[in-house]
Amino acid sequence: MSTKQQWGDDVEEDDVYPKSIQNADGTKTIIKIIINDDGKKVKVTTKIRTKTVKSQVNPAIARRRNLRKFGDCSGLKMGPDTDSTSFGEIVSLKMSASSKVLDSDVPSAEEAKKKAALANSKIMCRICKGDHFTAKCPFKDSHQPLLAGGAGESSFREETPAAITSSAAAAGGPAKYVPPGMRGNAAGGAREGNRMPGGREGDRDDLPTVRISNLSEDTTEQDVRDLIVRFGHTSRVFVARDRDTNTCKGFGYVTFYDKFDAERCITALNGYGYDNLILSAEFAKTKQRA
Amino acid sequence: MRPILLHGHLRSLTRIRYNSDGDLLFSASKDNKPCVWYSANGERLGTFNGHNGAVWDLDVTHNSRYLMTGSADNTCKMWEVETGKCVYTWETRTAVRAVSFALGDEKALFVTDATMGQQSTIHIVPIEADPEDQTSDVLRTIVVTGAKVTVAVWGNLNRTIVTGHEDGTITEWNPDTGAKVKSSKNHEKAITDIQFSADKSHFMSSSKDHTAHLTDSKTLKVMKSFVTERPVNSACLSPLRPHVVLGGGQDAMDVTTTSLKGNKFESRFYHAVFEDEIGRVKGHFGPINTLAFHPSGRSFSSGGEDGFIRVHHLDEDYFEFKYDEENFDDLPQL
Repeated sequence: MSTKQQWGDDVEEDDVYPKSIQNADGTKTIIKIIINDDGKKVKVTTKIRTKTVKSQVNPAIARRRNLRKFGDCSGLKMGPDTDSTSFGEIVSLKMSASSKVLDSDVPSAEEAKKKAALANSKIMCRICKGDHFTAKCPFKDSHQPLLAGGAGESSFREETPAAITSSAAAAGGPAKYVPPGMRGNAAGGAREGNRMPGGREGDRDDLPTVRISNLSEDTTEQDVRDLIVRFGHTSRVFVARDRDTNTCKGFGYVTFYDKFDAERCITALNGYGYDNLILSAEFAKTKQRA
Repeated sequence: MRPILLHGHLRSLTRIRYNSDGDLLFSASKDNKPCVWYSANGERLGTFNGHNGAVWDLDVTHNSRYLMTGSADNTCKMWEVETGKCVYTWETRTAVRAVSFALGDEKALFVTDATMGQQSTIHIVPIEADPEDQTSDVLRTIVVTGAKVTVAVWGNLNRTIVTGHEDGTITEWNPDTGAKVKSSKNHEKAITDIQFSADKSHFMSSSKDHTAHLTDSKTLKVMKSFVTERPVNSACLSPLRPHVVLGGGQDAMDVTTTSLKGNKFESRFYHAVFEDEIGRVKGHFGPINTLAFHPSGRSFSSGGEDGFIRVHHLDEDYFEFKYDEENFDDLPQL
């Protein structure tokens, strides 16, 4: 092995460390060279702004300020010890007269309105027009769906997102499960196969979806959610994960309710620095349907 | 604001208290070493070594010279704050649950637990000016029949002692005769904390029944009630603003068995008059066991089941926050 020095070691060798530079804006830069845990020489640059806060206290407090430490702390020098004192992350105390805004879990007025609209939308069976899901209809096997007239309307009504869970539950019930693609064929033949519940209005393929790529490995869905919450309401946030390691694969999808929100998100996040990486954001390409 | 994290304790916090000047913060935990910290920068001044069990409660004299701690090792100790030296030890039959110095620091009380066939007992002891003269004399013992005492503090001008009980009652005692003066069942479940206002005219009581009450100390009538959806472990009054802070969360033993969403271990600010929640401070990983407001009202601290104390120096916008009803500037001049 040659003992030839790396070219990087020659740089600034003449300088004397630690060195302290007074900056124009009142801050001070301290550069020192230390040997880190791996035995490597590293240069540490610290920028310090010193702010002196003077306050008048009563003599007892001033005296107590200079007490010798005792107990487990005896012998420690003045100033907070990093073993027992540290700074936490910045937390906010947002004061507000209305308690509702405080709780991020409580849906906003707009969301509440949407929910109310869903709650009011009536469920109507496509076969017998009763107030149950088509899958639960007692005449499911014997009757054809009512194609004429209000069929289009009723099918729209049923396929609201609220129906997803209920119809899924129905599938596990006593009625025989018919795959969504088969339902139209079995019943009418002429109808094209139904999409999964949640189609049309609620289909997320029809909602503007943004693909965010170049995410770092430890990104979680909550991180992405925090990142994009300012752009608007989202119906879905998804981060692709590795199946084995459960780490982020580097990209994710965010579905907005509003195209305008999505556009704002793209302009803001494309090229945005996040976790040391530069994100890229674009509209997701829609899946090709056969 | 950026909270200061104090991690000097190995186990969950049981009590934190500021001294009357507010420069020191005392903390007791289920490990056996109470600590004292500088409240301004979170520097630990020292630990009080000598107990052999969980320390349930502590109190400090008005002149910040002596600290009293009550522990589950069946002792109650008095310490010199500035050196950490134990100056006196009272031996008891059962664990000491609550301690409190009386106004004037000439007497103190400590309450022993109702275990091992003993009843909860309030011991009122004299505090000598020179700890060398301290003896094991007791001025009075009050045996509490009925539900166990969980908290005890001196009332206005030492004329009363107020105790909170495991069944949710708050009782007022006459310290001179030992008689029960009044009793009021203000809560459904165990009282977890009682903290008086600076003038002792009213106090906050918190309870496992998910509520905290602002109570008039003369009549023990509930004046204001703050309802949450979790057990409240501690509640304190802001000395500066008409606000109260509630801390809690479910019992540590229930944390793993309930949904993650319920675990909101936040300090919650309520308006003392309107009873509305007005703000929250997140941070702890476990239930908050104890809360204390700085005597100046400009910072507050919380101690949690997670073993951390978080010191929050409140931002300026906190002090600017006002309800419309609180703005008196535009009222017509009389």
